[in-house]
Amino acid sequence: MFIRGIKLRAATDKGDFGFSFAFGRNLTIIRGSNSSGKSTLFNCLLYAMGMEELIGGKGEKVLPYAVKEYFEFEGVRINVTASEIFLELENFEGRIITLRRAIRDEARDSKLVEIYNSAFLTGGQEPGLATSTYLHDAGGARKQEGFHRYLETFLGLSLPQVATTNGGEAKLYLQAVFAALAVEQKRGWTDYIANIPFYGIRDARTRVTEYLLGLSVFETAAIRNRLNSDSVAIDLDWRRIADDIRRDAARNGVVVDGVDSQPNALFTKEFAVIQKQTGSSKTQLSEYIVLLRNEYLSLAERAEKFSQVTGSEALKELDSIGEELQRLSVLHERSTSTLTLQSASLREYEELLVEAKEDLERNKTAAKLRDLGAKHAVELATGHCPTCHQLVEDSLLSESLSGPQMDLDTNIGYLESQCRMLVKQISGLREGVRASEATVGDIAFRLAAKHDQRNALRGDVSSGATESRAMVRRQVQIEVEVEELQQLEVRVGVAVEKLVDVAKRLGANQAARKGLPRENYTVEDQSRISLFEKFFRANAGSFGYESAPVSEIQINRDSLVPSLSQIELREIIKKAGPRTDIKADSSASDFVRLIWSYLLALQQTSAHPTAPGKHPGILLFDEPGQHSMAVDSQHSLLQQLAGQAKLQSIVAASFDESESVFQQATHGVAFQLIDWNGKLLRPLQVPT
Amino acid sequence: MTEAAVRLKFQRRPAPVMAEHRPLYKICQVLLVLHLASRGGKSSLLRLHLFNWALKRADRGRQLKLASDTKVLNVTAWGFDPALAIALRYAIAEKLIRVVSTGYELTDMGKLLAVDVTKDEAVFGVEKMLLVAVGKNITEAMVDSVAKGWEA
Repeated sequence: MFIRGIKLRAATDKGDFGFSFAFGRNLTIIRGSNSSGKSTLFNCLLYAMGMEELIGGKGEKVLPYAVKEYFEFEGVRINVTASEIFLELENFEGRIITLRRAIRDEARDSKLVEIYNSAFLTGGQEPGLATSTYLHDAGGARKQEGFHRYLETFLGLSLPQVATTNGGEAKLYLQAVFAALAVEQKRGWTDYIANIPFYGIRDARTRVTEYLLGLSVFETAAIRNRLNSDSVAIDLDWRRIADDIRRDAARNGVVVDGVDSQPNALFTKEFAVIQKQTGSSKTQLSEYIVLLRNEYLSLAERAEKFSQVTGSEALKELDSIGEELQRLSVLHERSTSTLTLQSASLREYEELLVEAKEDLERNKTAAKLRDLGAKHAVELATGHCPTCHQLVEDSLLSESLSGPQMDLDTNIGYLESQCRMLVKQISGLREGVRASEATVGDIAFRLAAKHDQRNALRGDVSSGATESRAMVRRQVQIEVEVEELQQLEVRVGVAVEKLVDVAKRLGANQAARKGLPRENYTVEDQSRISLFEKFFRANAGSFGYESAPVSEIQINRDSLVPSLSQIELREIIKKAGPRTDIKADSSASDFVRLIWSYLLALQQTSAHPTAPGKHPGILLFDEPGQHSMAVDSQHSLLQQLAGQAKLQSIVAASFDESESVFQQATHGVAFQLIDWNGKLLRPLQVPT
Repeated sequence: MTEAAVRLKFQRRPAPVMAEHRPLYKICQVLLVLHLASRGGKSSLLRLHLFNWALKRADRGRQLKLASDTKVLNVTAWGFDPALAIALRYAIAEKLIRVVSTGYELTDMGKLLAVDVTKDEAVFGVEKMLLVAVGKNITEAMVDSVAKGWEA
């Protein structure tokens, strides 16, 4: 991407004021003494690109009052009635657009960015028709009319989905990527990619670096995500089918053994066996059907002899059926109440588990904070009172409680074992509920059948029929039951076929998972990181980094930041005590050198022909010479920036407000200069 | 064995402690409230108690979010947690916050720690989401107007 030009127009009662500048293809230096408006220009540049979140805020409030309220010109205070900013951009394909965004305007919201397909600023073309896009609205990075979405497409980028801290996924926002391209001076020089706005992206800095270097992790992650969502679907399908089978079976008073409640890749249809549960014993369905048929036949035989049967025999049978009925209803009641109890305690345990897990999460946070606190030399982190340095209890309310209290690690261990215990309890209870459901179903079925039989028998006794209604009824029942069971068998067969399919999908999923690279980074990624490391070291050397031997600095393969013996290399805030690690300690200006090296190496690696990355090829630095940086270092930074192919760099600097420093820093460097006398905002020439 | 010889021995085991009663947990929570949800890193004690109370349960957090959207605090009363008072005293002694006329303010050291806590994704995930969502929209004036009702 190239930034071709910028223009600010502020309408006042004294006519239009503002500024208008064109930028060079390679290095452009914005030179200005302190408070001359250098940072105003720089921040306007970011604002025009919708990147003001890097300065720390949304909307025009990040900009100084001079561009939106009033400014002084030749000793007169001039009020701004309306102001807007134009920015002309060119992408790698040579397409040129002009962005227009209001800063202060009654009619236009500062969330609106209008896009013209013309070189309005430098080419003198007519703006033409505008496309309206919007910033900072929910979904602005995803929706077509979102400005950042537009810019992403314009830059030819396609930003990946990344993991968020709350376990979901979000797009890697363009603003996060721009934090590695543009560094404003207030907070930008405090870390490698300091100004990534908080979007809840997990390890945002590492993700941005991976993206700019063009590492394949995102593809692998995308595949992994697809596999994950597949396996969720597999799990869901399996549970649904298994549940259907179970419910269908329970309705008919049978159980299907061998169907796990969780998906199993090794499942085949031979595992699923339908069994009839009678009390505590189980019989295979086929055997049970044989039993029913035999009963049917014996009934038929008895029916033939029925005419000879006496009334007393029928009465005796009625008695025995009555007893059986009573027994069954007691059983039914008992098993129903067991089921209710079991379901209630299952729910209770599930709630307990959720609570215990939340508690565990909080305790882990506490442990993490203790480590973080120790890094910041907080005395309480080591269990000491900050005032008297005596040992204190690791609890805020220890004085109002008596007896010993668990320390943090014990507490975590305690909660973990509680969680494990609850998980076991719950799975046991689930099994129990399932078994009880089957039992209740079976008993209810038998109860209903016996009821029918008794009613029929009563009819027989009172009417003295020649044909036993009871027997006929029982025969009909058997016929119906056999038919239902056979239909059930067919349905279960079909469902089991489906389960076999799901099991095959699970197998394929597991195999694909095994095929993914073990390591986070592929061999090719590794070689890119090595290249990045080489560029970084070379840069650090040429910028005069001295706090540690440059050859020993490594790019950490997990976090992708420079480190020395696995400790992140940065400026350590010096605090009392010998805790400071000498090795990882860089002086303030030396740390800034590392940041230069890092951001430049990102672009160098990305532009390298063997490993093309996604870097848009611009670097914007506001006052890189922080902490009284040596002139030599500034000189070699400018030299590096100017000499870099495929890189447009814009550097705003004051050069210590000294001409000799400026001469020294820019000696032999090709650059385009932007500077001005006095204040930045001045009357705009009326176009002739 | 005679009856007199039978002795029961009790050994007192340490009791678990709520995570939010760990000093650093509560201190860092306060720092986050000051850093993410308070103007100028400053807040009154009353307001800190409100946030402390709201962060204890998700439904209270939703109430706070609602208040930030509607600019009206529709909470009639909230709890005052002695643990917060002690945590504040500790934090002052650690020079993470300081007392100002209107309440408490983050010190530079406190700010550095708060920034690190904000950056660390492994901690306070839910709390940070809430505080970022609520933003700095719960003003002292909103808190005061509710508190005024208590005095009547």
